[in-house]
Amino acid sequence: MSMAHKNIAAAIGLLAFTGWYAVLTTGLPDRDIMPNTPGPSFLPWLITAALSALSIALLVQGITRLKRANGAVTGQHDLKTPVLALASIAIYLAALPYLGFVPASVLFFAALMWLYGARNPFLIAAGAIGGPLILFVLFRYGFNIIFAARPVVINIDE
Amino acid sequence: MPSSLAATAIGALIGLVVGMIPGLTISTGIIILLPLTFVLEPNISIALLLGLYVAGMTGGSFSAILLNIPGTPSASATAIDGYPMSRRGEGGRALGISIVSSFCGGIVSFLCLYLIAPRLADIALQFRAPDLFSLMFFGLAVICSFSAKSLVKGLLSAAIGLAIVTVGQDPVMGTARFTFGQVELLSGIHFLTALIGLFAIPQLIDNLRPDPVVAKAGTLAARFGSILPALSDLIKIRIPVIIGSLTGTFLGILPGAGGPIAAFISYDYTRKVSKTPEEFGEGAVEGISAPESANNAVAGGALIPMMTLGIPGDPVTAILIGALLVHGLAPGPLLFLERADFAYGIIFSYFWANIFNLAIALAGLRILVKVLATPRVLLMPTIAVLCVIGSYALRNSFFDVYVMFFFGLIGLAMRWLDMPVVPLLLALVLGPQLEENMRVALTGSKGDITIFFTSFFSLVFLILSAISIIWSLWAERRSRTKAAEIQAGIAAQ
Repeated sequence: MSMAHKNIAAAIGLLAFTGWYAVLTTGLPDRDIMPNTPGPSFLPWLITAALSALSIALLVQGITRLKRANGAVTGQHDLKTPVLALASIAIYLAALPYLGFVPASVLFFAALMWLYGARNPFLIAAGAIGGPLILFVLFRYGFNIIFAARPVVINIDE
Repeated sequence: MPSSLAATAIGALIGLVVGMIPGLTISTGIIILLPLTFVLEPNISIALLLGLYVAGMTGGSFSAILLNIPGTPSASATAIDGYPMSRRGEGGRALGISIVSSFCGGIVSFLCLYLIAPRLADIALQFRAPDLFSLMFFGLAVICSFSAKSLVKGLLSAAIGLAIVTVGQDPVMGTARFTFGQVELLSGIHFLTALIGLFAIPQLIDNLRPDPVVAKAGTLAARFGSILPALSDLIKIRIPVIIGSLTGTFLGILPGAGGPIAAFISYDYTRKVSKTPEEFGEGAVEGISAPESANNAVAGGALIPMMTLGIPGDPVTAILIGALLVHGLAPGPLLFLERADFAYGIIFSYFWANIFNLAIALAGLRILVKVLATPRVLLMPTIAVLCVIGSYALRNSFFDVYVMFFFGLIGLAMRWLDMPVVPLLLALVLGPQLEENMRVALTGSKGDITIFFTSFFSLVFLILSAISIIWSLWAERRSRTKAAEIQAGIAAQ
C-alpha cells in the first residue's frame, strides 16, 4: 500500500472518529461558571474542529499525491509474525487474571522467544521459566510491588 | 546523598548497556526502570533515570563505532567516522574520543542548566494563566513542526493526544467526560501508561525482524587498543566539542529537536569549519567528537524547559515529568521556589551522571561491549513483561494494562502512517494544564479572547508558535520541491 493510500484510509478513519467524538461532545453537560465563559465541552469542540480540518487536509494530501505519484507502493513486510506477536500479547493479558503472573508469563515468554527466533527447546524452557521467576522475585520481594485488589494480584502472590 | 549517587552510578551502568544495544532506545530503557521508581524516593528515582539518560546517549556510540549500527538514533552521525576508524584498527581511539566528547558535552550543558534554569524559573513565576496557555501551545506547535516530516500529521498527532486528554474529569469543574460509565476512566488516562504502550509495543514488533547485531557481535574484535585519548587528539577535538556542546544544549532546549538533529547539525557545521573537510567520512576524530558532545549536551538542554516550565524537550524528559508527578512533584517554576533542594538535587544528579558515565565507560568498556551479543530472544520477552508490570504498578489497576496495549496498537498504526508519536505524547503531558489555563484565562476575561494578545508573554509565545508553524510549512514545501527536482533530473538522465 502506498503512503497516499494509507493517508486516505487514515483520513477517512479519522473523520469517522471525529464524527463520533462530536456526537459524544454534544452530550456533555453545559455548565459554565459565568455566562459566555467556556464550559467542559469547550476544548472538545475545539478539538473536533481541529481534527475535522486536519483530517480533510490529510485526505486532500493523499488524493493529490495519489494522482502525482500513481500510487507508488512502499516496502512490503511480512505480517504473519507481528500479528502472532500481538495476538500473544493479547492472549497473555486476557489470561493473566485467571492463570496468575508466573504461569501466564512462562507461556508468554515461551511464545515470544519462539517468535523472536529461538528454536532450541532447552533454551526456551530455561528462559521461559527463569525469566518470569526472576522478575517475580525481583518485583515482589526486592521492590515490594504488590499487585492488590484484582484477581491478577491474588494470583501473582501465589 | 550517597543513595542518590549510587542510583546515578547504577543508572549510568544500565544506560550504557541499554544505549549500546540496537533496538533498545533510551525511552525503552527508562520504561524498563519505571516500575522501580514508584517504590523509590523521588530524588533517587530521578538520579537513577538521569544516569540512564546521560549514559544511554554515550552507549549508543559504542555499537555505532564498532558495528556501524547506531545503538540509539542520536548516535547515527557518530557511525560516519567512528566505523571507518574501527575498521582500520582504531576502535579504541574512536571510543575514547566518543566517551570524552560526551563528557564535555554533558558538562557544558550542566553549566547552562545550572546557570539558566533558576533565572528562567524566576521569569516563569511571572506568568499568568494566558501566558501559561500560550506557552503550552507554543510547546505543542514547536514539537509538531520539528518532529514530523508532514506538519498535518504532526498536528493530527497532537490533536489526537488532546482528544485523549479530555477523557476523565475536566480540570476546572470536575465534570465527567467520555468515561462511558467506567470508574477507571474518571481519573483519565495516565500518560505513563500511554507512553509505555506507544513506545514499547511498536519496538517489540519492530525487533521481530532478523537481528544483525548478534551475528556481527560474534566477529567483533575483542582487542581495540588503548581507549584513553592522546593529548594530540584532545587538542584536535576542542573546537568540535565546543560546537557540539553549544549546538546540543540549544537544540535540547527546543522541544522536539532532540539528539539526532543536534548530532547531524553539529557534524555538518564542524565539517564546514574544518581545515581538512575531506577527512570527514573516512575516520576523522572531529567527526566523532562533534555529534557525541552534541547528543549528550541535548540531555542537559532538555532539562531546562522541563524543570523551569514543565515542558518536556523529548520523550525521556516527558517520562521524567511522569516519574516526578507520580511522587506528587510538579516540574515548573514553583519547583525552584517550593522545593529548591530537590530542584538543585536534579541539576547535580545530572552533573554526577556525567562523571559516572565517563568513569564507568572508560573503566568497563571492554566488559560492556560483550553485552552487544545479548540474545534478543531473552531481551524482548523480558521487556514485554516489564511493560505489563510497569503499567499495572502505576495505579495498581489492571485496566491500565489494557490501556497500555490499546496505546500500543495506536503506536503501531501511527508508525504505519509515518505519523510522529512525540506530539501526541506532549499533548498528553501538557493537555490538562493547557485546558485549565485556557479556561481560567477566558473565565477571568469573561470570554474575551483578546486576553491572549494583550499579555506580553502570551503574545510573544503566540508569535513564536506562528513562526514555527510557518517555518515548518516552508521547509516541507522546500523539501518537496527539491525531491521533485531530483526526480525530474533522474527522469531527464
